[in-house]
Amino acid sequence: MSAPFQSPEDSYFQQLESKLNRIPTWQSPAMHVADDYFDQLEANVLHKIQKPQARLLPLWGRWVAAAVVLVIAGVYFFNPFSSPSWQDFSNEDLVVYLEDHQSGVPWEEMTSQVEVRNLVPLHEISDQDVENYEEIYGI
Amino acid sequence: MESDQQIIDWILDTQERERGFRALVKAYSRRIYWHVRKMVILHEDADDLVQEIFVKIWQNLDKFRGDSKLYTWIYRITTNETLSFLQRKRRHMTESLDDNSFLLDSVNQSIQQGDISGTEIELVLQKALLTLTDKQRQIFQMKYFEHLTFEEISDITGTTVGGLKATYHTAMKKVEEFVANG
Repeated sequence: MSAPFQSPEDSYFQQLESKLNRIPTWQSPAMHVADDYFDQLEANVLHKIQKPQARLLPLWGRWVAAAVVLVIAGVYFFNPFSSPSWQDFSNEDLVVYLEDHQSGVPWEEMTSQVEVRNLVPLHEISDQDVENYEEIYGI
Repeated sequence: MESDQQIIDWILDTQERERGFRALVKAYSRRIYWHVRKMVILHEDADDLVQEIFVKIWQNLDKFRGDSKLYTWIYRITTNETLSFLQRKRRHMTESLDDNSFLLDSVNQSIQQGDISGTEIELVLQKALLTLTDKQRQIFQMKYFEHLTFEEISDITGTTVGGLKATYHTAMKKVEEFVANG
């Protein structure tokens, strides 16, 4: 009966291992550990798994929480729904605005030379903004 | 010690899962420890990592379906966590992704502390192994020192048998050259 077929790579590795196995130096140095280490390891592991795992939210909950935080931050910083308030304007802007407003000049004819910060058109300033300014600055 | 099948039966039963885990720890702690220790060298690192591995095994027990061998599944977690640990430690200790000098320092430290002992030739071999990449060293260790077959290592690592043979061959050559040249 002929010997079972060996692929070239199988026989190569067998020869290589056989050669290496004949070399007595191929032992790794001894590593030491205390005799009772494995008992202690077992106890430590069992203690760790019995500690309650600190997990406030499941993974999907963390995504929802992150989305909520982003929305709140976006509304706070960009605030697309609010109308401009007097706090957006410089004092010079508001003085000019109020002089025009109190003098009875119609909205449409109010000076456009004043550029309000954030490029808000003067006619979008609300009456409440004016009242707030008047209250704070005693006008 | 319980058989793997008994441990699997306990793990797959939610009522007996903790019992199965305790038996698993008892059955595999030495094997996992020595695999990890030979890779990370320092006992303290091995101790921390082995505990992390067992906690990870516990956290993933409900994902084990019994469709692979128990030791294959455990070894897969062990090898992945060990490689991740070495990458993290290397990033922390060195600037180069290929630098194993921190492991050489660990060998010298362990020799001084008496945690490693051996003949001069054995210590040369240990240093030769540190010239390999982590993956080469791990495959070499599993094949040469732990006597796993290429098929078993393939199941564990997901690498093809052909790829493993090539890696093993390269590792052997590098170690041979180092030992020969000192």
